[in-house]
Order: sequence, then structure tokens, then C-alpha cells
Amino acid sequence: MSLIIDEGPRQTSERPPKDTEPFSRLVSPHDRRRRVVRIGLRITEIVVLLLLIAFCAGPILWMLKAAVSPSSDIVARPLSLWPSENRFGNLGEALSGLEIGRYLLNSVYLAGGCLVVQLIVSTSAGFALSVLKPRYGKVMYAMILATLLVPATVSLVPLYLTAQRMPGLGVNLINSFWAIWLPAGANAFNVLLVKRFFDGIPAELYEAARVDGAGPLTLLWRIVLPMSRPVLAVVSLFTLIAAWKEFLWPLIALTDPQKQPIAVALPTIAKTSDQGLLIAGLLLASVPPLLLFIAFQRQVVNGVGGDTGSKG
Amino acid sequence: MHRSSFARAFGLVMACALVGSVAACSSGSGGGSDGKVSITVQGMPPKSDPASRKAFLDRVAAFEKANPKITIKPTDATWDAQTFTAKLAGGSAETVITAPLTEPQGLIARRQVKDLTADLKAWPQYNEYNSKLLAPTKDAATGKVYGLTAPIGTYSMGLVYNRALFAKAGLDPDKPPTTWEEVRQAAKAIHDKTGQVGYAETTTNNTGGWHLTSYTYSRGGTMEKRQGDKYVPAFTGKATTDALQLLHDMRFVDNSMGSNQLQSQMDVQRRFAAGQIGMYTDGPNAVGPIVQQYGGRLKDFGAGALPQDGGNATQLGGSVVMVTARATAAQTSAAVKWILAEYLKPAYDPKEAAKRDKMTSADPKILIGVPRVASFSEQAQQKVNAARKPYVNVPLGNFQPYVDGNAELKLLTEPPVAAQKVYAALDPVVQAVLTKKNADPAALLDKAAQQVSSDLERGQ
Amino acid sequence: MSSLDVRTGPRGGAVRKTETVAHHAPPRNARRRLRNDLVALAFLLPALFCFGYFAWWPLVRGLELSFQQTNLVDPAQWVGLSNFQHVLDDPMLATAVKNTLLFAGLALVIGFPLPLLLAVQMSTLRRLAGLYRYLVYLPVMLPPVVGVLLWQMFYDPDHGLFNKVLGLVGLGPYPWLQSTHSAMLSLVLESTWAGMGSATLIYLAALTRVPPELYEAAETDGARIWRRMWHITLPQLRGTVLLLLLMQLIGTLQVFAEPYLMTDGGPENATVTVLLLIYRYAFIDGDYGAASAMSLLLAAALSLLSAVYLWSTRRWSSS
Repeated sequence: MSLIIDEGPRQTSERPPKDTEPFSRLVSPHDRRRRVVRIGLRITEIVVLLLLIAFCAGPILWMLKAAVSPSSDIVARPLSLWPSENRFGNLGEALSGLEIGRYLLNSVYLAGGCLVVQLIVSTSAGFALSVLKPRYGKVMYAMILATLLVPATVSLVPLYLTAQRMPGLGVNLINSFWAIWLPAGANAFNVLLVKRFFDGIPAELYEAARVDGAGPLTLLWRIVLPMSRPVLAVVSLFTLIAAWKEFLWPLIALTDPQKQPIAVALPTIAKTSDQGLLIAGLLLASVPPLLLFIAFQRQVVNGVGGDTGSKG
Repeated sequence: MHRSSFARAFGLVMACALVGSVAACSSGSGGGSDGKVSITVQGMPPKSDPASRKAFLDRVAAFEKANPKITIKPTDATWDAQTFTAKLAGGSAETVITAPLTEPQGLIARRQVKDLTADLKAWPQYNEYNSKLLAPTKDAATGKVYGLTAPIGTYSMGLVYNRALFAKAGLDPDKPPTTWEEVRQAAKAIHDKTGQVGYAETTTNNTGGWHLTSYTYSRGGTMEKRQGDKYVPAFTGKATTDALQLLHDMRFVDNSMGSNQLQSQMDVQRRFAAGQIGMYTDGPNAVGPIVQQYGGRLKDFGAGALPQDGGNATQLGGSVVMVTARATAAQTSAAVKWILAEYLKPAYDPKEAAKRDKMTSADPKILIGVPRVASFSEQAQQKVNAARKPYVNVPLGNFQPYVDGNAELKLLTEPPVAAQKVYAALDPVVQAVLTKKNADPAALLDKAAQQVSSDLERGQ
Repeated sequence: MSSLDVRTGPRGGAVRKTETVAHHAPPRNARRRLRNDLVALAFLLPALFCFGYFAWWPLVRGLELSFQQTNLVDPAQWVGLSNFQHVLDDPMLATAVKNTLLFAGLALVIGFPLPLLLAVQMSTLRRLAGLYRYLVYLPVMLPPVVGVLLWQMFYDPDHGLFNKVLGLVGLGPYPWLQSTHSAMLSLVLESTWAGMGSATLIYLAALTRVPPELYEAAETDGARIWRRMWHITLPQLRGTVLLLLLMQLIGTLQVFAEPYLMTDGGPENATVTVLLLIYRYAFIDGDYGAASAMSLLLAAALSLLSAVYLWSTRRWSSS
């Protein structure tokens, strides 16, 4: 999702201090003083806002409404703005009756594990490649980056066969959470992101610490990690979101309904249960990522829109 | 987070990662040197059905008591085509599996299930077992038998209909259509008078091709025929074309099939339960999911025999019980013993049948008395039915048209080679005639036949 | 604690820094270098484990599988190129490739200009910009499964929201997913809805980085807003545009969840995509050899695009 994040805070000096929302100078202050431009801008602003509400938020608002409506509403009066009667019970019923609660918990568990594994892999590898710079580092980095070239879906079948019998270990990961957690670590993008951020930390800092007798582990804990909070926050956020959304791999690797995350369980629920309850389930599955978004809106937006590696 | 605790957490997680991944190792070698053998079996009812689950576990305990050297590990996992091969490869597949009738031929061709011929021949009732029910689990080339059809779910395709909608449309709920022409008229009447879908068709997950096979049989056609020593597609004939033409006409001329055509069996059952569908093709035991799972009304459910047009035949449906290829000889014998005790005994032993019903009737939600195909002789079936009578809780009258009509029909089985591939190629054909006004059934079937021929080659 | 505290600390010791660099910069001593290499290896262990097992090995295994026939119980048999031949002979391959390209093409036509225009408009906002961004990114946060299931209900020809809404203005009813003509388009609409937010925000960020001097200079030359947009904004964005184009292509060529969940490839195979076909080969038919062979073919096509992507990343970031 997010592209290559630039290191350090972005230049903001030329902007007025109060204005934290970046905007383009396509329309100059001079333009804005012209009546035609002002009215034109205002009209497009309103039209676009209405379109965004209808197209982007509309389906979600409809889901909110339908989740607390009787099932008959969905077929009989899908256009009504308000439920014919409030059925907040749908949510509780979905949580317990459809066992959505368990699936949500599985999702939380899966996302959490993916986060831990990805943080470990990306920080340790980033540190080794960026700071320790072993002689084979370039080759290793190239091999990691090369996996970006081959989309994950292509090696789906062999990945499955590997997970069900890991060569050398003979371990079967299928139907255990490790089948999701461990492959999540093989995320070249996060390694790239973290390594590039580490590259931007001035080398003098390490040298100073080394003189004070700090070993590599101390370097990582005392200097690199505390300085890397911005990038780690972005990596964490996007890891969590991605893990919550993942569908194809858990569908294949976790066939035991007791262990499936919500994204995999929902299509089955959709085929077998009452529509009103299903929509309640859809809503419940959307609440955690939406809460995450509300809480970390700025980081998400900046992470996505972060420096794309192209010169502006 | 405080630094040192962060460091500790890091180390801890790493250690867990390594240890945990090794501990996740699961392996189940069943045999022991002391003559004890342990098998895993599918078929345990889910937690949502506690009465049946308890009854099942009681039977497991009784079986283990009677066979002290056999340990049964039951699971409520059900058949999943998507993961079966890999589960088998990873050694985590159950010893005894139940699978839909559509699967065994593929499993046999891929050598993923055990040959049970020797163990079954030693079974005293083997010769009384309905030989038609062996066809799905038999390798036609070698005559070896790889499993048995589970009597409890065995049915023949019929017409499932909503009695309330029939009454509303001025049709007689006790006399469902018996020919396809009557189906067309009834569908139109239901649609015109009630506004609901007259006749619904399933078209995804290979069910379109599967139903088309039943239609073809009912019109005297066949899906594959022998040419020399190979099977070739035979569904380009009049029977299949006419069946498609009827669907097309009901959809576009009479407008009695609704506009939603990409439906799985579950979709149709759910909508049927909600009273939105007048008729569709399914076995009488569809009453189970429709009433128990989707909340349909039992008294509105009606089952008739498969409508006909010159074929006088219907298709066998249901599930099979098989033993997976990794089982040892001892496990195989134990598995066959379990299969016979758990699945076959209640179908020929009236006492056992009554005992089962008595236990399951503890939960009034479980339906007892839905007609089945006789797994043994007709007489044996009647004795069993008589013993079960006190526990029957479905309105038998609603199934009478099925029972009466079915008695006259030949029972045919799936196409012998690569049936799933045939169905997969025919799903799009059924979808086409239901979504395209100018669809040409004959041309579509020719195209599908071309595609299937290479699959049939690879499958023989 | 903010990262700045740490940064200012060691920076204060600038004097000491220069002398230590001379001593400690990449260890010259051979033994020390070996030690450094080994320490680094220890740090790389988690990455080696994850990438080794779940990225590198599956690639090798996939290559091997594509030349084998296996039921995963008996030993695999080497079958040469017969898997490739079988896959290439399958009439469904052409259909799937055609459908996948259609999906990618439609996604490009609909899903490509929309975020760009939206971003340009949003970049001129002085108020409520946060609200706009929030709205546009909202669908991206939902699990794709939720979006797909929701839209599937909307597409219902009889009771769906879309036909009801369009019916109000006298349009329809449209068959949406039920017709070979509109099924793919319906999938693209859903996936555009679900994915548009990311592209919009990326464009928006790029737009805000266009140097204001360029606009000022153009304005002094008397260029009106439209001309400035055409001659300054768009050319300045071309790097970002190219990147997103490639990323979108790579993404859409792997489309799976939408056809898998919404149509199961129907009607009449109109939405069978390459990935859906691979999935069916492997997980429905149990033919892992054929699935791997087809994956390899897809990989070749995608690697080509990915290579262009990486090459252009480098090019645009260094130019």
C-alpha cells in the first residue's frame, strides 16, 4: 500500500504555520479573488463532497442502517433512510449466534502475530543490512527485493505445500496460526522501508556509541529503534490493516472453522445465514479497522501519500 | 515501552517463534505394536446440534467398548475438496471421510483412497447391499470397491416444492407436476399468481451441470458413452438440448424463473425457505437444511419425484464413506468395522434403527422419517421403516408424491469419468441459457463437449 | 519520548565523532570483518527463516512442481512439459486471459482517471480537506470481503439497492452480475470503489509537492488555471502516474476475491480470471502440476511488469 516513505519530517517551512493541511498552489490566492473562480471552486467542492458521501460513504452508511434493521427491510425497503424498527439485537445475535465474536478474536490474534513477526524481521534485517553492512549484505538485500518481483499469489500452491510440510523440519503449519504469522514475515516491502529509514540515521551516532563500548544489540535498542518510531508506526499500522484484510491465504491455510479469521468466515456465513444477521456481521468485521483509521487517520493518510520515490 | 522490557519481549517472542513452530508439529501415526489401532473419523455432528453430538459420542464409546483394540478419534470437520489433497499429503486427513457422491471417482483415480474390497467381502450383509449404490465407489475398470454410500443421506433427485405457494397459485399441493411440461405450466402459474419465482435453477459450484445430468436422464439421454474402450461426451443429443431449451423458455418466454441466476444450492435453499421459490430440483432430504438451518416451514415443504419426459429415470445423490490412502492395513480394517457399525447397521437392522431414532428424538428439531433410497432389499427397508414409525416427526404425506413417483423410476448414477469436469464445463452452459435471450443450446453444448473431451482423455 | 531527544544528544558530540569515524568505519581488519559478518548473520536469522521458507523455497518448489505430476501421497513423477502443454491446451486459459485483461483494462479506464481528477480537485481545498480525504479512504479500510458481499447485495437484480435507486429515475432494471456483458464491469466498479482511496491520496501527496514557483511563474506569464493544470500539474505528476499505472496493472492482473466471491467465474465463464483458474486447478481438481505451470506463466508476465516498475522507480527517483 504505502510506498517509499521519506525519512524525517517533511519540509513545512514555506507553509503558513497554522495551515497543517497541505494543498497545491494550482489555484493561486490571486485566482481566488476572482468571482468566477470562487464560485466555480465552491460548486465543485460541494458536488465532489456529495459524490464522495454517496459513493464512498454511502454503502458503509447503508450497512450501518441495515445492520440494525429487520431482515425484511433489506428486501422490502432498501432505500429507506431509517430502520422500520430498531434491531440492535442483531449485533449481539451475530456475535454469539453466528460466532462472529470468535472469528473477530481470531482476526485480532492473527493480525497481532503478523505484526510481531514483521517487526522482528524487518527491524533485525534492516539493522543488519543498513548498520552492520556485512560483505554479503548487498546480495542478501537483492534477494529480498527480488521477491517483490514475484507476486505472492503466484507461489500460492508451493507455499501451501511448504507450509503443510516444512522441508527439514517436517512440521505441518496448516490449520495453525503460525501458517499465517510466519509467512507474513517474508515481507520485502517492510524490510525495504525500514532499511531505508535506518540508512537515513547519521552514521556518526553509531560511531559515537561504539566508542562508548556499545555492542550491536545496544545500538539497535538505544539508538536505532527509539529513532525509528515514525517508520515503525507506519509499518505496524499497515501490517495490521493488511493482516485484517487478508483473504486468499487464510482461506487456504486455515480450513478449520474454529481458527478462521472473520474475512474467511464471512462468505460461508453469507451463504447460510439470515441476511440481517449477515450485515450485522459485516459491520462488526469493519469496526476494528475503522476504529484504527479514526484513531490514526493522520498516520494512515501520510503513510499512503508518503513520498512515492518520485521527485515531486 | 520501556527499553529493557522491550528487549525482553523481543527475545521472548523470538524464542516462542522457534519453539512454537516446532511444537506445532502434528503427526498421527495410528498403529501400535500391541495390536491397538487408532483411527480418526469424520461425521461428528457440530456443537450447534448438541443432541446428535452426544448420541454420536455415545456410539463411539459403545464401539470402543465392543472393540477394545480400536480407538476412535472423532472430528466435526466436514469434507472440503479444496484442502483434502494437501491434508492427505500432510498426514492430517482423517482415516474415515464422508464426501459428496460427486467426489469418489476423482479420489479413486488419484489413488487417494483405500481399496476396501477384501474387508467388505468379509461383511455378511455385503451381498444384500443394493448393488446400484456401489457404482459411485467402484472402479469400473478393476471392479475394486473403495467405499460405501452412506444410507442416511442417500436420495434420488426429485422436485422440491412449496405447498403454500402451490395452493396460492390454485395448484393442488398433493399433485406436483410429473412431467417437465407440467413443471413449466405450474411455474408460470406460481409466478403469475404470487409474483414469486416459479422454478429456480442452481448454476454455480458445478450444480448446474449436476442438475442438467438429472434432466438428461429424465429425458432418456446420457452424459458419457463408451466408444471403443474410451468414454466420450454424449450430452450433445436431444435430451440435454431439450432440457436447456425448457429452462431458456421458462426464463425468457414465461419469465417464471426470476432474474437472479448465479445461485448455488445454498442460495436456492435459503430463498426457498423464505418462500420466494415455488419449485426446484433437489432430494427430499433438502428438508433438513431448509427447515433446520434456514427456518423454512415444515408443513409447506413438499417433495415429488423427478419430472419426466420419456426417460423414466432419476439420479442418485448423497454421500459416501471412504478410507483415506494413508491408512495402514490394521487401520483400514478398523475403519471398515466402524463404517459398518455406524453407517450401515441402522439401514438393515430394525432394532438399531429404532434405537438411533429414539436417541435423536430427544431433540424435537431433528427431522425423522424423510424417505431414503433402500440400501438393502425393499423388505429390509420396510422392516426398518416399521420399527422407526413411532419416532417419525415429518408429515409423511408431504413426501408421498416422491415415494409414489420414485417407485417407477430407474436409478442412474453419475457420469463414469471425470464427472466433476463435465459438470464444471456445463455450469456455464446452464448459466448462458438463463442469462442470454439468444442463447443457442446446441451450439453451447458442442463447445462444452469439445472442452470436456480432453478432460476425459486425461481422466482415463 | 520523542525521537528528537535522542537525535540531539549524540549530535552534540560532534568533535568526538570525527575522530571515531577514522577508527571504526567499516572494520578493515579481516578477523573483525568476519566477526561483523557473523553478528550480522545472527540479526538476519529471522529474515532468513521467513524468506527462506516462505518466499525463496516456494519459488524453487513451484518450478519443480510445474514439471511434475503428484497426488502428494505417492512419489512425484517427472512429466517434462506435459503440464504446460495441458494448461496451454485448456480452452479456458484463453478465456481467463481475455477476462483478466478485460478486468485490468476496465479498471484502468474507470479506476485510473478518477483518483487523479479527484486528487487535483482535493488539492485545491482550503477547508475540510481532512473530511474529503477521510471519505475517499474509508472504503479502503474495509476488509475486501465485506465490500464484495455488500456490493453483491446491491447488485441483486430484484431487490438490490442499485436497481431500486436507478428505478427512481426511470432506469433499469439492469442485470449487473447476471449478464455476460455487465458482470465484469460490475466487478470493476466494486474494486474501484474499494481501491480508489489509496491512489487518490498518493496523487494528492505528489500534487502538494509541485513547487509553487512553477505555478507562480506560469501565472505571471498569464496562464489560466486550466492551462496551468495541463502544462504544469500533469507533467509534474507523470512519475507518480506511471508508477501507479504499473502497480495497478500488477494488482489487477491478480484479481481473485471479486470473481471468486461474487460470481464464481460466471455467467458463462465471463468472469473466470487467471488466478481463479489456478485456484481451481490446485484446490478443486487437485492438479498441482498444472496449477504450478500456469502460475509460472503468470509469474513471467508479472515479473516483466514488476521489472519495469522497479526500473522506473529508480529512474524517476534519481532523475
